[in-house]
Amino acid sequence: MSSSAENPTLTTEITKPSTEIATETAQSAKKINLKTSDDQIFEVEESVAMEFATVKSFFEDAPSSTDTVPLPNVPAKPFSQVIEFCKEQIKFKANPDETEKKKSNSEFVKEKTNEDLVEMIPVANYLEIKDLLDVLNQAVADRIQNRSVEYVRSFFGIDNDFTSEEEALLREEHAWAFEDVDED
Amino acid sequence: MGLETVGDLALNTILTKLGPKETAKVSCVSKRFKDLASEESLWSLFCRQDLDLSAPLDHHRNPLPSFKATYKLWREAFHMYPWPLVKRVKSCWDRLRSWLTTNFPEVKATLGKGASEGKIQELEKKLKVKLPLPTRLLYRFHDGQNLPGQKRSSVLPGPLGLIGGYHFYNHWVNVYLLPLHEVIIKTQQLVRHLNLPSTFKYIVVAASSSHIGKFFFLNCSDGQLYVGTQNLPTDAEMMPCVPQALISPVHDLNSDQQQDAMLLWLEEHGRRLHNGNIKLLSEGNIKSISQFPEESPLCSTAVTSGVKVRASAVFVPEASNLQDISRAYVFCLFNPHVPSTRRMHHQWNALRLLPTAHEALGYQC
Repeated sequence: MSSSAENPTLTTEITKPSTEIATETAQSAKKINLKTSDDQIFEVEESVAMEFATVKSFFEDAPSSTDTVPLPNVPAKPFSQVIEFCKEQIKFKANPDETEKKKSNSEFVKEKTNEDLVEMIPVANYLEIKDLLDVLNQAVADRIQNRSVEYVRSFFGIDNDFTSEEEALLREEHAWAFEDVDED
Repeated sequence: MGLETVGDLALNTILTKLGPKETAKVSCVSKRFKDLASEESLWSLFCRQDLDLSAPLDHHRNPLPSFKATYKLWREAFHMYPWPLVKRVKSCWDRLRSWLTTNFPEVKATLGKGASEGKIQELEKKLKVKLPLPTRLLYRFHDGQNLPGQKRSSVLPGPLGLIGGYHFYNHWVNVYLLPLHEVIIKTQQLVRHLNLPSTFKYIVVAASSSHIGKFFFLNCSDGQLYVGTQNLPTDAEMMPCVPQALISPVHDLNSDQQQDAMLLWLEEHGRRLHNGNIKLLSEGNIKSISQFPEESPLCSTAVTSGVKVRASAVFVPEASNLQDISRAYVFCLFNPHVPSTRRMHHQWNALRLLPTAHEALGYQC
């Protein structure tokens, strides 16, 4: 993936030309340009960008910088979802309501595919968004809880790299854990 | 893009959230998962969370090479029991042991090594009963108490009973937990002596180490614990020790909530020891656990002639009968604040009292 043309719907909302965004928001908050590993530029409100500890420390080191910040480990698709999450989070910063926050978090997670969740984890990790990491780790844990070994493999999209003998031995060693597994 | 970009730290966090059983299971997913799921820090956390273990020890407190091996061994050693019940029984014993460590190590030294399943089955066969699961588990951790000097019947052992007791006039009671081999002997003796039917589903689990016949019986069918009254020798009269409503089905393997009277009784005993409701009594160089409550509301305080006295009553089942419980209480006065020359120094003033509803006590010890 190298250009947004391949995936035009992906980031339309966030990567609109800056003039359009400016007319949408009443007061023009400061915007920061962030460039993903697949060379897409996201123009993000400063308050949202400051949720990313990695970006925040970039500006702490260079306060007056107007440069585009490169995010070499962050692909556009999970990044747009991360931005979606952070926008929601900011609302609760001004107006803390734990119940509503939990509800919003669980709704965010609910509509994501397994792949979405797994792809967002390294992004949240790189950008050091602790709340999101917590939410994602919990969501992954919830989805593989009580599931079979085969299900966990397909969940993460990984191959079994054990020989059948090795796997049989391991299963025997952990026999105590293999009671009451839900059907896939 | 997939798992390879997800850092070990995140996966470690996910395993922490998944818990021990799932972590063991994902060891079989792939080599990377196997390595992640073998992290000692994870298993140390699981051992602490589930078993309150800060060192890798088995249920006989023998050291093991790793927390991972420890957790596995515990799960395997108790695989026939619901795991939440195992944790609960362990925590019940932990509480009792921690109190004993600080206050009465002599009693701690009498606690027997955990009984094997084989030994428990032998008892079940000999007495034709099926032990409730919580009681079975209690014995798996400690096979009752082994009191010194017990073999020679002429010599009374020291008052080392875990349950403890009281004395007044020449009535001296100190209750200890019977080890399984004594459960068999005492139950058989009593069944013969009291001429009980062979279908008798009770076993003797605790008794006074003194010459006073005070016996606690566990009903293996419904899980209630009974204590023999004055009329035990003549009518096999007993009274329940734990509020019936608290007891849950005790033979259902799938129920996590089961609790028999034996477990409830020992848990309550642990609570009373920890909150100071019952205390250690020292008379000269003899120590014992006193069943007289020492905290309100079961203990009252009053000032008389400028001296603060505290008083509490204890119900004495083995000296009462269910038809006339007015003669059932002994009354104790302590006076710890008098100068030592005048101090009654824990001397019991035993008086007969009118009953104050013994139901208020809830549990009978």
